[in-house]
Amino acid sequence: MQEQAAHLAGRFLSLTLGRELFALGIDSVREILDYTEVTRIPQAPPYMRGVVNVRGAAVPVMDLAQKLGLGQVTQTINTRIVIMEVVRDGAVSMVGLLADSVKEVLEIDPAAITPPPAMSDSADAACLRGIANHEGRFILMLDGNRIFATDATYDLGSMLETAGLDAPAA
Amino acid sequence: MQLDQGAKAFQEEALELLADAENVLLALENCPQDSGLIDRLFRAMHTVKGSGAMFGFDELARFTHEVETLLDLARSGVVALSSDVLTLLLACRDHILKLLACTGTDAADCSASDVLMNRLRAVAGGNDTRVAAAACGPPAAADKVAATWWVRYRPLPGTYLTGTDPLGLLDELAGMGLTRVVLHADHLPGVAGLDPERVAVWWDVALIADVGEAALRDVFMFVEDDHDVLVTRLSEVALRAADLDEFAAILGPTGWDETPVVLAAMSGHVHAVLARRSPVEDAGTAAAGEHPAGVSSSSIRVESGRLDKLVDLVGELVIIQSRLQQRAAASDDIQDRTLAEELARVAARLRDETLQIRMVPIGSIFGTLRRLVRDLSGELGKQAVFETEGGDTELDKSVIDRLKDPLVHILRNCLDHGLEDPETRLAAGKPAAGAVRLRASHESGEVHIGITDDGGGVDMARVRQRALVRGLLAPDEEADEKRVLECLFEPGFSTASAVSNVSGRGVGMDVVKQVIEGLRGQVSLETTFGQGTRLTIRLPLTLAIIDGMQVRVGREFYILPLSSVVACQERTCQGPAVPVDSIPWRDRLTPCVSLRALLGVAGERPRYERIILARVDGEDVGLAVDVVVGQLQAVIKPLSDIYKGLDFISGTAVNGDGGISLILDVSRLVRFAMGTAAAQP
Repeated sequence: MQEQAAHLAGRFLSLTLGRELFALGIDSVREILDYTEVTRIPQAPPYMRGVVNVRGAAVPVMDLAQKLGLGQVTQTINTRIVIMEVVRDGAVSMVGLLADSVKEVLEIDPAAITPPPAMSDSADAACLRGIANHEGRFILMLDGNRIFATDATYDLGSMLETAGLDAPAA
Repeated sequence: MQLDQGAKAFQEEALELLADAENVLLALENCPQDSGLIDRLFRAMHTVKGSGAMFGFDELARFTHEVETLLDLARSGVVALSSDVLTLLLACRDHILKLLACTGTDAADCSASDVLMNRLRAVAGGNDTRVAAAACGPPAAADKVAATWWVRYRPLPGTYLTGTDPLGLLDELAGMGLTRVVLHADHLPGVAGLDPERVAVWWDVALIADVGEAALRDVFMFVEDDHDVLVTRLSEVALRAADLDEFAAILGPTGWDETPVVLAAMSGHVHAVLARRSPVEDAGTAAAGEHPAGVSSSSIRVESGRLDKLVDLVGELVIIQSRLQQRAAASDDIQDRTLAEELARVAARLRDETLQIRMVPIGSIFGTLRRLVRDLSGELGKQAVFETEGGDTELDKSVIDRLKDPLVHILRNCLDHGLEDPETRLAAGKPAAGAVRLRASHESGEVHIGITDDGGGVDMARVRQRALVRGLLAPDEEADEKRVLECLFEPGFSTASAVSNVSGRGVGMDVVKQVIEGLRGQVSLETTFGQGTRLTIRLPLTLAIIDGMQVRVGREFYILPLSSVVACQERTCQGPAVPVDSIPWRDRLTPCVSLRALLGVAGERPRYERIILARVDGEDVGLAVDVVVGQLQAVIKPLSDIYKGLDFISGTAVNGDGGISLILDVSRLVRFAMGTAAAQP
């Protein structure tokens, strides 16, 4: 049991928002859905897209790009909803993250993860576990629980710019 | 790991046993002689002690042992369960509940245990001497079964001179069981003629004891020849303490010479008591509603989380089934349609049965409430009789759990503000003890809970004045009684001039209203000044399903609870929608909320709008929508607490096509709309 958890700890699901590559711990990912119609919830913050029916339960869906200050996810053929289990106030609940695309499951050595750049505003980087350098690319390691812990949005866009971590322009 | 699970199972079992113990203790208050109840209590404590020790609840086991000891004495009839003893036992039961929370030993808990244990020992010990006295007495006759006896004893006037104390003999009788002594002092001369060395009085003793006639006669062994002693067995079985009181009342006015007549009256009374006892016993237990009909009926304890999961799965099944049925209905294949129909039938039954599992009789919380009334009335120096009715009325478990606090609040209010103290009541021509009644019943698909007291009622003038001070009523407002009473449910309202630790802090009724509304229920108050108050709670049977009216706005679907829908209208309209305007309805200009404008729905407003008239807090309000889809029964799924700020959405429901409808809380929606309209002139 413990062995398995340790095994999972090093595995991450990579996904993209615009040009940036992100990763989520695979142990909190429950399933990946193709984009389906999201039912809007009125009067909710803009980054909360609404709810989606996952086998009878209304699961809230968050636009990850909007939450992280990286624009907005637009619907394409690659758009996915990553259903995750997060811990809020001690209870586990299901939430969906809207991402531009989902890539693959990566094995990342926890030792290869470095803390977010110190120069950046710590509040903006709070949603990150760290940054990993994987096969020559920077991957932003997301902390699933942190993302949903606050109603505020993050501003990763400016953080990336000041840190010079922005991926090379295409 | 294994131990933890065992300990957890023990805690659950003990909680149940303790809840039952509380009910039994309260039931014993009415019939302290009921050996069945005492046995049940003893067994419960015995189990708690034994299992507790097994799972390392040492302090709990140590303490419970002492309680068990006392109960054992009560079981053998040595200790009478007087009101004081019952109070002590209730306190002990609470203490065990506290000890149950921790396996470790906390110094404060231990000292609390010691205090209670000393009191237990005092009660038990006070009787130890009596046990000894009885045990040391001459060997009792063969029949050791408790019976009811009547002893008439008239000592010789010169008894004192022989060194015998008649009171000592009476004490000895008292040591044998439960007694009621009637003193006959009618031949007592005036003070002037009183000879302190002569006995001028005689006694009647009604006695419940497990001794034979010989043992009773042995008490009077040395005086029997000279004194008048009559020992009569009234009944083969032990009657109750209350019956002894009745005997005492019969014996009170009788004279020595009327003995044969009295004997006839007494045995007639015993027959009457025994005749009505057996059926009454059953009715009494049923009316108490504490123990579900079959205590020993086969049942399985299931963690409520697993039930919730089952309900969720059935909900999913019903949704899939309805989608399947939609497809089958469009198909030409008769077999597909038959199959879909059969599935629909089974799914509907499965759903009903599953929801039924979650139903719990409301009587399960009556025990706690009875305890509250008992404790509070003592604390407040008031007398209250708590009567319950309809304990078998079933409600969803989650509703009952959430209903408990409001009911506690309401009863506190009844006792603190409602009931007057005994003197005031007597002066007003009412019985000293106030009556608080709780009645639960099913009425037209709802559960109604009425809490009535015969106290002083609500002082409308004071409430009105207070409401004016608090700004809840405008000075020139001509508020009728209903409007004034509604102020009682406003936050921060309290008419109690002094804040007691029971109520009067002005938190309460507004919270009560909030909780009840959160359960999709309603609460209302009626009162007659000087005669009492009646509070009525109306609740839906279950929170899992809602009878709703589905509407569409743009491409979004919403469900309004059918219970609040009054009528439908339509109107032609032009231009962009505004959140709140008004429409003519029943010769009045009624506010109308546009869901499209209020909720920011995308798309063009149609030329025709449907308007659903809903009743909110007694007022009609229009809700403008694009299309009325129809009525439906929807399985409610809660909205994730990520959206916790949005109180006007009470849940979600999955549509036949897999989409989602939002269920609206109409009264909160209208409040939100009025707030928005006020903010944007």
